[in-house]
Formats: sequence, C-alpha cells, structure tokens
Amino acid sequence: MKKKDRDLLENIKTSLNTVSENEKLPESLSQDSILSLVEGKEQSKKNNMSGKQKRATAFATVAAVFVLCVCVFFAHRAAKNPAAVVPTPKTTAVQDNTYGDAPLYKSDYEAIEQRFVKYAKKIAAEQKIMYGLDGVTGAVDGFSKNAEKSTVSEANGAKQNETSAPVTDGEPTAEGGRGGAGEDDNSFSSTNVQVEGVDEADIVKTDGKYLYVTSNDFDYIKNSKGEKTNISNEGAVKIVDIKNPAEMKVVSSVLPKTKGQSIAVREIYVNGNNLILICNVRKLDENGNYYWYYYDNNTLVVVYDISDRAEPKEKGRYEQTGSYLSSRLIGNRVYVFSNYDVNVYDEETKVRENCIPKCGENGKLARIPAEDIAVMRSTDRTSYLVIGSINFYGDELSPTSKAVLGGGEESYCTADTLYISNSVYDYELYTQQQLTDEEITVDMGRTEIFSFLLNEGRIEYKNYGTVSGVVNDQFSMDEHNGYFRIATTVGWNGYSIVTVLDKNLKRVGELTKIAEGEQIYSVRFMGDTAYVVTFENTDPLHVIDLSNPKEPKILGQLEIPGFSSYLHPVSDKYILGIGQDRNEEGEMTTEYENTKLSVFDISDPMNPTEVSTLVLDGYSAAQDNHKAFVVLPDGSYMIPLNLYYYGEGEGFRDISRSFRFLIDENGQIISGNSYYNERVVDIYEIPVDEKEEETTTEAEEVDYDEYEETYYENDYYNTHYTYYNDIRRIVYANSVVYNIGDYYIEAFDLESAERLGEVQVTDSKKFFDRDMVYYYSPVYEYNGAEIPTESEVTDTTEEVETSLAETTTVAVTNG
Amino acid sequence: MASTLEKAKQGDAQAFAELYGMYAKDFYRFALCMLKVREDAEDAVQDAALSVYKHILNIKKDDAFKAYFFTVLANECRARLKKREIQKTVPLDDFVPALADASAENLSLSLELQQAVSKLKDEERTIVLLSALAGFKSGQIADITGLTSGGVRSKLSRSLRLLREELSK
Repeated sequence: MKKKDRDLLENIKTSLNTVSENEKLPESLSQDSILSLVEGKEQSKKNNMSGKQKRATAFATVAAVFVLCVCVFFAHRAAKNPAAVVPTPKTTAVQDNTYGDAPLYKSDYEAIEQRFVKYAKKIAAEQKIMYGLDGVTGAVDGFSKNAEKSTVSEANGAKQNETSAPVTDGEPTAEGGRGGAGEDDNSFSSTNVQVEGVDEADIVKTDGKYLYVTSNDFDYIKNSKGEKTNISNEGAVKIVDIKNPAEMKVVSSVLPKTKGQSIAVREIYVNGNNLILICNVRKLDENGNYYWYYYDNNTLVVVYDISDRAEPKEKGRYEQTGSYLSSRLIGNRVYVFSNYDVNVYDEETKVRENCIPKCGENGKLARIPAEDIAVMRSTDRTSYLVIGSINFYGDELSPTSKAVLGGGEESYCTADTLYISNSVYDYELYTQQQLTDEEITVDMGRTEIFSFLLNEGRIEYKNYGTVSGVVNDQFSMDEHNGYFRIATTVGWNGYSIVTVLDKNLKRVGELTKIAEGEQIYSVRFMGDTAYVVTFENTDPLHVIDLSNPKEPKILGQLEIPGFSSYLHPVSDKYILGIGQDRNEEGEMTTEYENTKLSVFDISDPMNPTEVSTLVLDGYSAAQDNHKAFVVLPDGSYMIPLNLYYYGEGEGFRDISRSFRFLIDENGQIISGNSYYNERVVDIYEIPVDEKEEETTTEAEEVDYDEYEETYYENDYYNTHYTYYNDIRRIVYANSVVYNIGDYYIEAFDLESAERLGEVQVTDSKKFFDRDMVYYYSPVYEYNGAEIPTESEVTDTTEEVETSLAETTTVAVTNG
Repeated sequence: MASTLEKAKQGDAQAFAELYGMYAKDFYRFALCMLKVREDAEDAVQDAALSVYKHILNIKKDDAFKAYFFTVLANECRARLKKREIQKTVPLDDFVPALADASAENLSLSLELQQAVSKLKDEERTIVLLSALAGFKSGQIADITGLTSGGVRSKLSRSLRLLREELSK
C-alpha cells in the first residue's frame, strides 16, 4: 500500500475518534447491557424485557432445543463409534442430497406466482414488525414509478425453440476461430480456459490479425438540467487491425443499440467471422434514470457478422432476465448464465408479473415456459438461475432456455455438462439437520450444485446435490471419469473438504477436516489428483489422491511461506503456483505488493517440493483471474504486473509491464523479457535521483506533492497519460506482445522487447472523468489505478451528447 | 489459567462482555459510520453481539475476537443497508456527529473527513472503515465483502483517491 494511502487511513481513524469522542457509547451498548443481553439467553423468563431481549429469548429457546438435539445426536454417535473422527455416511445429514430441497419441475405459473405473492406478504409483515414500516405499500413508493415499462411482450408460455438448429456451412473452430482471418503462419494466444475445447468469454480476444477489446469508453445520460445522471452505455468493443504492429488502427467500434435501456458490454467471444458481445442491460425510466439496484438487470447477447471488420453487421440478439454470471462457448453455441433476483418488495401485481424469468430474441421477451422452470421445494428462494443458449453460427439464433428458482454463482462446464454452484445460508436447515458444532457455521453455509446436460443447444436439467461449505472459484469444481469433485471451505477459520459425487450428484466419498483454521486459496484437479492450497499464515499445498472416489486421501503436503491463488499445470511433473510471498506470520514480505511464482515438483505425490520460486514486484491480475495468465504457443508464459508504490529513499515507482517466463525441464523458472514503456519509468525516476543527491545527510522523506507536480507538469503525461495505463490483459500474436491497458494498447517485439507502437482504444479524458458517476461500473477493472482529480486532467472540451437511452454503432477509422 | 476467550467459550457471559468491552467503542463507531443512524447502529451492534456469542466456539484464537466481531457486524450493517436501499426509508444525511472538544482546526478537518467517508457508497465505505478502524488486510475484507482480495485493494485505493479529491475541494 502506498504511503499516502496509509496516512489517509490513519487520518480517518484518528478523525473518527476525534469526532466520535463525544458520540458516547449508548447505554444499551455498554459492557453491562451487552452482558444482560447475552445472558437473556439463559434466563429464559424475565419480565419487562426489551424487544431485543424478547428476540434473544425466542432465539435461546430454539437454541436450547437444538443444543439438546445435538447432545442426543452426539451421544448416539459416540456410543456407536467412539473413535469416529470423520462422520460416518449414514449418520450425517449432509451425506444425502435431500435437505428436503431438490428442484421440482412440476410447476406452473400460477403456483410460482402464488408462492412469490405469499413470500412477499411474509416479508412485508416481518418488515412491519421489525421496522415499523407499512409493509408492502410503504416499500412501493418510489419503486412502482420506475418499475419496468411494458416493453416486454407478455406472450404467456410462448414456445421456446427446443430443437437445435442444423449446423450450417462448416464447423466453427473451438479455439477462437482461426478461420476468419486467414490461415497463413498465424500464431496467437487464446484465453486461458479451465477445460480444453470449452471457450470462456473475456474482455479481449484475438484471431492473430485483429484484436477485439472491450474499451473503457462510456457515455452519460443527462437530465433536463444537463447534469450527468447515469452512464448510458459503456465498454464499446474496438476492433484493432494489427497487421502492422507499428501502426495499429482501430477499424471499428461496436456497441449494440438499445432503446430504453442502458448497456454495459461485459465480455466477448470471437469465433471465425462471428463477434459475440455479452452485455448487461437495465431499464431506464422516462427521465433516463435507473435504479442502481440490480432487479432490473438483464443479460443481452448480440451476435455480429464481422466478415468486414470495418463494418460489423448485427445478426441477432438474445436477452434473458438476470445479471450476467458467466458463459461458455461450445461448438457453435454460446451458453450464458444469469442470476435473476425477483423484487419481492414490490407491490403484489408487480411481484406476480415479475416473478417468472423471461427471455427472447430481438427485444421480444416472453416468459420462460413453466415446464422449463425448476422450483426448489423450500419457499424462501427469490433468485433464479437462468441459462440460455444461442446458435451464433447459422442464420437463426434458435435460443433455448431453462431456469431454476434457486439461484447460481460459480460455473464449471465440460463439453457436455454444466455444473453451477450456489451457496445457501439458512439457519433453519441446520437446526433441522442436527449438525455438529463445526458444521453449524451459519456464516459460511453450504453449497448446492445443479447439473445440466448440454447438447447442441438443448439444456436438460440433470441433477441436484449439496455439500457443506462454499467454493472458492470455478477451479474448485471438476469432473473426471464420471465423478464430480468439489472443494469447499467450511466456516470462518474453519476447514476444507474435498467431496466426490457421482453422476447423480450423490455423495460417494469425502475427505474432510483439511487444514483446520485455514481457507482454500486455490484448487486444481488433474486427473485422479487434486492440488489444494490453503492459507492462513503459511501455504500448505495438499496433494489429494482421488483414485478411489470412496476414500479420497491426502498423499502429501508442503508448507511454505506465502500462498498461491492460481495453480496451472505445467507437465506431469510440475505445477505452477501464482500468488504472493509472505513471511512466516503471513505478512507481506515487501512493502508494496508482490507476485510470487512457485514451481512445485509433484512427481512424488507423497512428497511435493518447491523446486524454484521467483518473487516479482507488483500485483498481477493473474493472482485473481486465470484469464490474465497467458500461455504462448511456444510454451512460455506471461503475466501482467502493475506496480505503483512509494518507498522511502526510493521515491515513487510506477511500472506496468508484461513479464515473460519459461519453466525448463528441471522445473526452474527462467526469466524472460519484460515489456513496458521505458519512457514513463525514466521520467518518473529522474526527480528521485535529484532529490537523493540533495539530501545526503538525512533520510528525509520525499515530498509526494512535489513529485506529483513534477510529474503532471511533464508534457508526456499531458499528452499520453500512459502513466495510468495499467495492463488488464496480455495478447500474443505473430511474435508481437500486446499490452492491453486501461485505454492504450502497446505493441512490443517478443524477442527484443522493443516497443513497436501504440493505439488508443479508450478516450482517456472520459475515462478519468467517469468517476463522477460511481454507482455503476461493471466493466472497468480498477487494478489499483490511480485516477487524477478533475483539475489535473485538462478540461473535457467536447461534452458527450447522448440522446436519451439510445446508443449507436459507430464505425471509426483512426489515424 | 484459561484466557478470557476460553472462559467465554465455556459460556461465561461475563468473560464475553469483557472481551466486548475492550472494543465496544470501535464497534459502535463502525456501525454508526456505516448506518449513519444511531438507533440502527445500536441495533446492529446488539445483533452482532448476540450472533457472536452464539457462535463463539468458532473463534479459535484470542486475538481473533475483534476480527470475528467486525466480520459479523459488517454483515449486520450490510443487511440493514440493503433493506434500507430497497425501501428508501432513511435519508442519507441523517447523521450529524456530536461535536467534540477538540481544537477547532482539527475538528473541522475531522468533520470534513468523516463527511467525505459518509459520501462513499456502501461497499466502499465498508472497505475503508474495515481497513481504517478494524485494521483488516485485503484478504479479510474480501471474506466479508465477497470480493477478491485484488478487488478489495483496487476499491480501497480508488476510495482513498475519491476521499482525497473530496477533501481537496
């Protein structure tokens, strides 16, 4: 963390203390009051109780009953098997998948509507008791005014096209469409995906001839007074011609036109001559405003024919309710997953109307047929997992969709099966199931898994299962030889579990109590073996044998300082970890952020060893996002590193670079080139040297403002802003490395690291200006970028005039 | 000799209250800055206390009490903010802090800073306050907010930048 940031935090703390000094701790929160509050649990009858105490008592009664059950349960288990450490399959409730809550397909609109209306009434009643609010009617004010306009056609039970469209001329290629841009000597990197042959969307794609980049461009909505109120669109996709890296050109800018909706491009796919944009859209009211709350979010998929890169043509669009979660591209279809949270605080007619997810082509949305909606038995679910699929290759999108009233989060997808995890936190189920103390970590909950068969666009609900704990990310899930494996962490300071489930998502075996007191930082399944990194102070890498699905066991573990938050298989012998270097106490070893590369030798699973490490300055997005990690066609790797820090006596350093490295046959990391703009570094370091010469005797602190001034006065900064160009992704194509920055793309020669050229994809002035509206920022990854204040940026002369809620596709020729 | 936490774990409410008392002011300040309404802040701290007391067996180390309490409290505050956002029940500038006897200059700066903090959006405020008041590292804040630790670092850095901008106005 930067010094000025630390100082500011310290300041905040002090000032809160100063201001709050007279803000006396209320009597109700004194030590004694809290004592009597918690004691209220034991004294189940007490006259003149406060509301809080009443609640505590009611709770204590439930708890007492529950404790009794647990005791009986324990006694029963202890008698049966005194030595049991791991719960035996028959006695633990988590062993079976029921929880009384598997999804049902026998529902109809009326039943679902009834259910929501009932639930909404219950919520309203609770609100009234807890907050003295006038229930539903109170909540409606302000909401109903802006509730969705009837752009939605209400074709009840409109039939969805269930059959997959016939594949037209030729098959699309799985790995990013080499076909479209020519076949000659075209070598380029593609998005680092979890499962081979299953493409994942990202903010940048390439076909070797062009880069396709979601920019940080955006436009404002203005109200009648001309004030910027919201962002109407953001993330226009720029198609960049890279035939000559020294003179890259933006040949077109692609942004779907929307009416009555704001749009944000989230991720893209490129396959052959198809460009697929996945966007979030949200409804706007007549004043051009939207609620920042997410009820009105829809996911929009737009397919473009980019045979002519300069003039992309829209082929069709598909929209479904819910915020975009993730997506996959398999064969000629894109599968998109969203989470739709029904607004149960709305008035009854609206709840009734909105409680069924919708989908459809070209802006015509209709309810998903009731037979395609699965409903969880427990009635407190208000979120839907919505899965849609479109054929981007033919003339027809032929969309199909399914929904589960239950919700979804992380997704793992093979070529034919989709698994979606959803974490659930509910007290009641725990008490019903009489779990042990460790298992009642309500704050962490459990994870339910929905599986679906995917076949040429047909989405078939398959199974439902549940495990304790929550998953870390998509890499926590895997399918191998007909078994589904999932790694979860239970509880706060809890422990981890690897569970093996069969095709029906019934539990086959589990390994529990892995690394107590720690939590999972990364997981990678490789065939019959799982590698799990947990962390609290040090990083144990656990090697887990899954060859016998009934009895997974730990083969070996390795404890080293620091942790890996991404694991990448290098070969049968080595696995690469990307994370951070920490000391034995788990503290950062460097004042600024670092990135640690570790190569683990896993050839002896009983005895994994760390054969080489490399600690690099700066934070790499690859620590938290596998898509920022790049595998080059020659087998070398690249990661982005963004460093900005202030070191006493060192001054300021700000370098965004791409770093290339190789892992040789002995597992050694061999450093390659770094690709960055040297001019920036030079400018930045000059004043530091001068300062150091001046202050020879004292280790005087370098004055930040002085340097900032020096920096901002510099012409280069004013003209290029490269200083803030944090690297979001790296793309490799035909011996050239492209740093995809926040608003610049820079090209470098792979071998010499010579800087070849640059092209601007985001209007930097707008980019900085955007912070004035900061409720809504789904695309822009901040990466710790510093954004200059308004005064530091030269005035934006051209105000962006956007016609209300209407955006256009513009073809721009740059240079 | 059993530690205070050990005693609390064995059901000693007095020990629990002692642990609570050590940080009571920090908890309340946090809740107040988050919720900006005294009654809500009280309520959140009380609910957090009940919840922590119930789950005290989850706390493994003595020094984890504060962190655990903050975690629960942050969740309590978030739940309230969410409800409030949906219902639009509370005006945003409801809370005016009581004035302290600090020097006028200090006080004005402090007030300004506090107001700047209160202008941050909920998530940013959570991150800044957890960082400043609770002293949490990005990983811990990530656990509470459901962001990645990288995301927390980014948002923190951005929020601080916004605060600086606000102060320089």
